[in-house]
Formats: sequence, C-alpha cells, structure tokens
Amino acid sequence: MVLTKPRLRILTIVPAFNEEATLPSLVADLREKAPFADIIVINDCSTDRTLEICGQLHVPTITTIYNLGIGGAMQTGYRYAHQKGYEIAVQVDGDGQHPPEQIMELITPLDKGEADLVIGSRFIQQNSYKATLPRLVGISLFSFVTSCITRQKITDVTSGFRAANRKTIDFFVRNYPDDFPDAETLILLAFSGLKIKEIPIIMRPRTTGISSFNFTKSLLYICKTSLSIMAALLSYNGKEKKTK
Amino acid sequence: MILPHQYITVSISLVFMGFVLYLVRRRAMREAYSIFWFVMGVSFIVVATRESFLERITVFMGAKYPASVLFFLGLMFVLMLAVHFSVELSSLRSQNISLNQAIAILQERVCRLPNEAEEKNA
Repeated sequence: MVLTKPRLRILTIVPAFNEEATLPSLVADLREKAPFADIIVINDCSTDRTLEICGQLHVPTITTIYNLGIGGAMQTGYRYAHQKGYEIAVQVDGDGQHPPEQIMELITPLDKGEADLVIGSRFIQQNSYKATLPRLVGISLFSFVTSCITRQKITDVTSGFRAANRKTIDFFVRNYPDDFPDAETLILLAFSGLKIKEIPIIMRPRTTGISSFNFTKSLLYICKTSLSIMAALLSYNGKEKKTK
Repeated sequence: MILPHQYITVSISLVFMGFVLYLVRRRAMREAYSIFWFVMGVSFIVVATRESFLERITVFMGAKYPASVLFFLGLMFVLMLAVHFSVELSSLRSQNISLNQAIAILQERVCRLPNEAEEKNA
C-alpha cells in the first residue's frame, strides 16, 4: 500500500501506564512494521520501569507530572503532534494489543481524504478477540447509541486504535474528555462535521498485565459516558459545525 | 429596644465581615469570593435588626417558625456556594491538566536539547 502523499508526517502516540513488559516488543514492532511514523510514548506517571525502558529503547518520551488517565495522556500526545506539525497522529495502546502492521490501512482513508478519524474495529470481521460479557454489553450499547446520534454505523466505540488527520488533531487539542473519552470524542467529532470511518482490524490478545477495567470502573464508565452523551446532545444546537 | 440576641448576631456578623476583609487584604481570599461572605454577613445583620422582615418572609413562604426559614435560607446559601465551588474546581482541574501537559511536553524538549546541540555542532 502506497500513500498518495509520501511526505506525510505521521506520529504514533503510545499512551503507557505501567507497560514495562510490553513496551520493548511494541516499540520494536512499530519500528519494523511502521517505519514511516515517528513514535512518542506518553508515560502517564508510571510507577514501574516504563520510563527507564523508554530511555533504553531511545524512544522519545513525554512523562506527565501526575497521572492524567487515558484522556489526558492522549490529549498530551495530540498537543505534541499539533505543536510539531504532524499531519497524522495514530493512537496505539501501550499494552501491545494493537497491530502495528495495520497502521498503513488505518491511515490510508485519511490520506485519500475519505475521513478525518479512522477507527480500527474489532467487530467488523470475525476474529479471535474475546471480550468479557459486561464489556461486550457496554461496547454494544454505546456503539448503538453513538451510531444513532452520529447517524453512521459504529461497531467498536471503545477501540483505542485510531488515526486522526490534522483537522481532528486540532479539534482534540481543544476538546478531549479526561475520563473514558471513547464515545464522547466520536459524538463531538460528528457534531463538528468531521468524518469518521471504521476499518476492520485483528486485535492481538493481551500477553501481560490485566485490563484496568474492573467492575467499579465499568459502572463508572457507563454512568460517565451516559452523562457525557447527554451533555454533548444538550450542548449541540446545530451551530457547532465550526471545524469544517 | 435592642435585644441581647440582636447584639450577639450583629457583633458576630461584623467580626465575620472584618475577618473576610482581613483575608482579602492579605490576598488570602479573592475579592470575587469575598462578595458571597459579605452578602451573608449583611443578610444576618438585616434579619437580626429587622425581625419583621424575617416574619414577612415566613408568612410568604407559608412556614410556621421564622427560625426554620432562617435555617432553610442558610442551607440554600451553602448549597449555592458548594455548586459554585464545584464549577471553580472543574475549571481549575482543566487548567491544571493543561499545565501538566504543557510542562510534560516542554520537559521532553529540554531533555532533547543537549542531543540537538551535539548534532548541530557535529
């Protein structure tokens, strides 16, 4: 696959919180399979050897002053991309579940101008990804709600494997929720007239560590996301399409 | 005739407003926040010196005792203040996050400066 604009500046943002075990292989994979993209690791105040390992790997790292959570960490990456003038920013989670070999597929629609944000979805094609039942229910519910609001089919609202073009990067610098940003960002983008597209991906199983989503967090996720969706709907008055 | 409880209420309100003024002078409290407390102090003085005022409010609200109206109004004031502080806290949190992000990005830049200088010199 060849990009129409070969000189496109691409940044891979890797938010990492205590990912010492997965980072070496992820960075090696990214360098091998997506050599066209620069890498920035957002070390979200990890308490393990994440920072030390980033130093050993000679990978540029931004370390936050205190733990910001996934939303704040990702926005740091988008701010960095904005300041450095990157045209595309790709989010790849530090747990190594996102396939770097599919980054090219993710950015192709951006390059062709077909979308402003591309999401790698685990549910378009049949694959071996297995989520727990509560998680699956949450994903399906919010994917359905987001699809209804954005008036386009979104199958994987919680996927963190995303690529954003310059317009979306600028938008995220100004608007990015701190906690559980998945569904809210999509709704805000859609309300701002930015185009979203999903492509099928095959997610790798988590090799080390455990998902940070426990029962309490799942409940918080449902409450917070429902409230954010309501707030986004109430604040949308048809005058929001400024970015386009 | 001025009753003892009126003396006490007015004195406490005046001392309270004096303390707020002292905090503002020492820059320990912003002027904008002091307005709330001055309004509260003045309200207490008015209610203490003009009891008929509180009685009229009690009748208007259909309450039985003026004291319960006073408690209700006080509670409303504290609730309003709590909401105001939640708004302020949310705004401070957003600003704090922005600062955190800006410092983190700058730190990354500073860490890279020696390498950049070396590359330039080479």
